[in-house]
Amino acid sequence: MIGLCDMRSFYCSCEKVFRPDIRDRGVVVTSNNDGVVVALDDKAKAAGIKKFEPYFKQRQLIERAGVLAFSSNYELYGEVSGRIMATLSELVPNGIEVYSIDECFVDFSAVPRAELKAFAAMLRDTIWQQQGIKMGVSIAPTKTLAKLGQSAVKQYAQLEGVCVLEQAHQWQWLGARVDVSEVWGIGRKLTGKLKARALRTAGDLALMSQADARALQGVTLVRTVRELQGEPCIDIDSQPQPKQSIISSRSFGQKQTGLKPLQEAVSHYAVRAGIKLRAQSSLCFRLSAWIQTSAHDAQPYADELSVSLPGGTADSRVLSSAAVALVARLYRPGYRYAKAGVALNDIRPERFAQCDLLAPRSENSARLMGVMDGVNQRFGSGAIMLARQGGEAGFAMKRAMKSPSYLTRWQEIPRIRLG
Amino acid sequence: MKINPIGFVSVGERRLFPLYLSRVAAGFPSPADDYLDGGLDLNEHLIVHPAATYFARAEGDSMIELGIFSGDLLIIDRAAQAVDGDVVVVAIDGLLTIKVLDLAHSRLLPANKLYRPIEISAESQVDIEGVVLHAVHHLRAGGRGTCL
Repeated sequence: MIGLCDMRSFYCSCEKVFRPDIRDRGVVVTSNNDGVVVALDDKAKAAGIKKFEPYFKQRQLIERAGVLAFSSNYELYGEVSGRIMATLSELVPNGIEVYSIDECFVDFSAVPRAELKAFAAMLRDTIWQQQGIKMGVSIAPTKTLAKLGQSAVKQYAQLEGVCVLEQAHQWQWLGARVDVSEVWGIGRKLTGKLKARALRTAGDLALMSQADARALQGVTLVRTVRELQGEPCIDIDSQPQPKQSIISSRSFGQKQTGLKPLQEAVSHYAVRAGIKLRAQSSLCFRLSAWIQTSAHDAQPYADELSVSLPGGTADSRVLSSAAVALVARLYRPGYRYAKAGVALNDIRPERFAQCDLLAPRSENSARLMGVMDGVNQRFGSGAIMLARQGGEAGFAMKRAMKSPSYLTRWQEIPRIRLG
Repeated sequence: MKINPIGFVSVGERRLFPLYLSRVAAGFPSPADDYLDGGLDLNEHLIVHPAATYFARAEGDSMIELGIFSGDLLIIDRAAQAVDGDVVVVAIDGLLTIKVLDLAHSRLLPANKLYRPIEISAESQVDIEGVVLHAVHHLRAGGRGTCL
């Protein structure tokens, strides 16, 4: 049996962990630059606030409903997520597959059938006590059915966060009540095609013939149909694969017209990507950078260039200088740039590094980068920067409503009034 | 200030090729090499459940008789099961505070004679948010940590 652990309203719940005073309030979290609402809890939903709609348009509604708004605090969410995943992987016998920041699959094959429910409840209670986050656990013979089980966890409070789908009649009952668009792997386009064929629910899709499924969307849809029938086709992958590419890209706080701020921005993104690259002990052999105006701009412009990095590198200085050089070639004056980005491609594990006799390699690079990462971890990201990263002024994200990084910065740890 | 740009291919510069990555041992080996213990890690000593531990800063004087002073760094474990007599973080009516747990009398006790115990009534909402395992008191810099 396969389980799916899903953190309820994860971003909003993280905001409440160290704020008992707001636990009864509705909460929304806004995107980078406070542009749109990206997460909301049940209370905010009930107030009529909509996900992915602009924050400024909903601001009155949010304030009138007594709902609190926070800028996204990825330092906090990332840390809480890491702690939850570490806790779960110690509790379960066969490891977990981290699926997203707030979801993971769990292999329950070593847990006796009769004990599944109690075991899932123990996981739920442990995460609640230790991390202060509500977690739903759904268990089924396949990943797709386990995902389906989360619909039940969310909809039926009497399940108390645990749903075990052991027998066909159970998932058939649920399948008839879940819209086909909610099935794992069914996107918006495919939903349209399926509904045109009168396949409206997960249950309808489970009855689709394999030949029809193959004709419509190939082997992936066949797999989904078989998984909905209870036949496992997608394995648990508890060995995380190192990322094949790392992208760091942001919209600017304000539109930029000059070359220098663009270069400072991509330099900053290259450094951020370098931190991720080193965290997974990899080297990058190709870097690309892009700049663009808003798509709605009267004079739109967007272009991308890439460069190969002989011998591979994980040195922020090299990544940054490559990105800055590319942007100098991409830049055209007279446009209002809204966004820039950097992608590290062709990433390989460090141990496969070629000893290229022609490429420069300095033993000091790894040590310097280690010191840089260490200092930034200790004193907050940005404590040590490359000079060309600039001062963050123009392109920095607006995160006006961000909560403290309670778990990751010394200056921002919770203060507790003893009385 | 002079800033040297670092290119990814530097031409004409003298380089050392990494043919020998480790130093070659020569001379008499240190007699202590066989007895290396590794350093002492304070985390290991103070933290039982790393994934469930958080730090906080104490403010106020209600716990001074137990040696918790304003400005101390608190190490709080959310995985430890709270028992009678533990110093715990509690959320009472929406506020976090720190008191001694007295389950036998349904009370939360301060550690300062100037303060009164808090009775836990049936209708008050009290949640235990962790057990305070250690208070780190800074003796320099006016009793405050350097990271503050």
